[in-house]
Amino acid sequence: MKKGFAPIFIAGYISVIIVAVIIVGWYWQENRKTPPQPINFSHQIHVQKVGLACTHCHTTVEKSSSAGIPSVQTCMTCHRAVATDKPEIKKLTRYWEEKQPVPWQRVYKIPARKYVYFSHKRHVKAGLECVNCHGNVQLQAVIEQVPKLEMGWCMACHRSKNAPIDCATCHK
Amino acid sequence: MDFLNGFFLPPSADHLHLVKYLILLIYFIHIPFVSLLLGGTFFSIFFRLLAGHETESLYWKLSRDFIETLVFRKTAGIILGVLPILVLTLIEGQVFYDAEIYVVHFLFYTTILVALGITSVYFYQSTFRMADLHPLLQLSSGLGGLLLLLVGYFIFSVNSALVLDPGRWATVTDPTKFLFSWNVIARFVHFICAAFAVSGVAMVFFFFNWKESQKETDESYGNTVLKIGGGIALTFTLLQPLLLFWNLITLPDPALSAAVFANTIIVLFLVLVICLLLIRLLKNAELRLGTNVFVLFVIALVFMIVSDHLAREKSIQNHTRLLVTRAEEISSEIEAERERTRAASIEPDLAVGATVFRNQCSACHGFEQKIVGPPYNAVLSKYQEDPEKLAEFIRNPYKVDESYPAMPKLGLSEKEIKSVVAYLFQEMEKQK
Repeated sequence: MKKGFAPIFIAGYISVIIVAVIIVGWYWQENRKTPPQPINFSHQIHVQKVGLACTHCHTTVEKSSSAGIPSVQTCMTCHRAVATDKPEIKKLTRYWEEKQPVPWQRVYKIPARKYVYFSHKRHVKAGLECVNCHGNVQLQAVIEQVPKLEMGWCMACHRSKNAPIDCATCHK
Repeated sequence: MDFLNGFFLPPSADHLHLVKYLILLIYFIHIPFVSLLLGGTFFSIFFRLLAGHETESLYWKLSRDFIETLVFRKTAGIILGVLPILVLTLIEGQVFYDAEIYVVHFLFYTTILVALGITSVYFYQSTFRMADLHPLLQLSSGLGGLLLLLVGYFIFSVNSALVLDPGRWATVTDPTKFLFSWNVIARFVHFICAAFAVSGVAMVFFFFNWKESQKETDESYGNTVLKIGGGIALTFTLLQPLLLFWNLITLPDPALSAAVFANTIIVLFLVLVICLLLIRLLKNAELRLGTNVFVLFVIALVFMIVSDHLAREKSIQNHTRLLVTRAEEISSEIEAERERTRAASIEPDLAVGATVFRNQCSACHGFEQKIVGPPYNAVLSKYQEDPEKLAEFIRNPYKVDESYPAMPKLGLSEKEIKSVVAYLFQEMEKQK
């Protein structure tokens, strides 16, 4: 290559990488694992400050495969009277008055979900605490997925606790 | 980790804040030094192998100048090489206090390998001018040192990549389990290439600015050093954009933030300017550009370190919050104990009790009717014999009746609690 072309070639090459970084950044922003929620709900306030237990709102965690997202009715049990002047509670009240569910965005997602059977009930019955998989949710002002929930992660825990590790345990 | 935790005290919130900057400072000191150490040793051995036994050849001279120019005095090896890693090990012991992560173990292996590697490289450097006495022993000390450093910094890369991925902390208990993570490989290759690029730039800068011996070297040898140093710098700087990108796309999700992307773009712009300057330097032999390139490279390195630190802080934020909360809990327990001692002498004030009732309690409780919690007339009488039991319930509420939500902790002072208890009993009497 002639030397006169080298600066142009290098400028082009680095510009392509800069554009690629911008595209990745944009993609990350659009698909981040902590999606914006319709109401800025804080686990920190409800669990750490107020002292509610996880099962207070996630009522089906001991009875079903899913932990359950609380209904607007559950929230309004307290918020008909508590902190009614706060803007986020006003948003909640509007959903209540319009008889609409809050369109919460799912945060915890199992990759390749359709191939995996996971039951909260079985894990809670086996003695696991919520923090074992979800981390210190009580400290999160905005909920985020801490573990990747990949197979290796599940397997490591199953092995360390002598839980079954045959394929059929999770892949029905 | 329980055994190691015995050596560390749980950190306080202020301490954690200070430690964040201390870690950054350690990286600023250690990374440039070790980059030159690695680059200097690698290229010295490379040219030494090319030279064979010809001690008067050009390659031999290059080999000697790389190790003598880029590897600083022995005291620097301890102050900038071993000591920072040792301090970092102790600091990380505090930062990851009680966390299920084997970071301290990994740093401990790194410290030992780096200390042995630096010793071996210094042996290679100090015996270079006597190399003809025991050429094989001298060369193998260099090779051994380089190998120890490479393994040490590979474990260091494993450690930094693991810190960024809290989801894996509990499951990665030895470095070999994390060897084939893409981020570890990207991190290590990036570190080595950046070290080689810095070494090339530093060779040009130090050789023509600081090195005494260059005064006695002839012009053609000077040109060779410029071409080789500049060539190494340009080759490895050209790889930086690809490696930066590779590192970025392999970063685990908890480590990503807008600041990390912005920092990467700044570094890429700096790399572009450095490459263009290096081409001019090589084409026109403009030595003054060597200083500019060196300064720009130091700035780019600072941005790279800051970017990595931001990723790290983002990844460990939940763990840091937990430590801060624990530290606050300990201090609030001490405060509560003091408050309890003071409380024994506190007299209730009905006016204060009325204000607390109006502002806090009445949102959920009435005397007659159920609001959120139960009506007072249904529950207060059971505390009449022992009002302290009610005070204790207000201090630390718990769920009593399944048909009502749990009462929150109100964060009242002892005076407020005693006053509201007295007020409630007085009001209940009035209702009768």
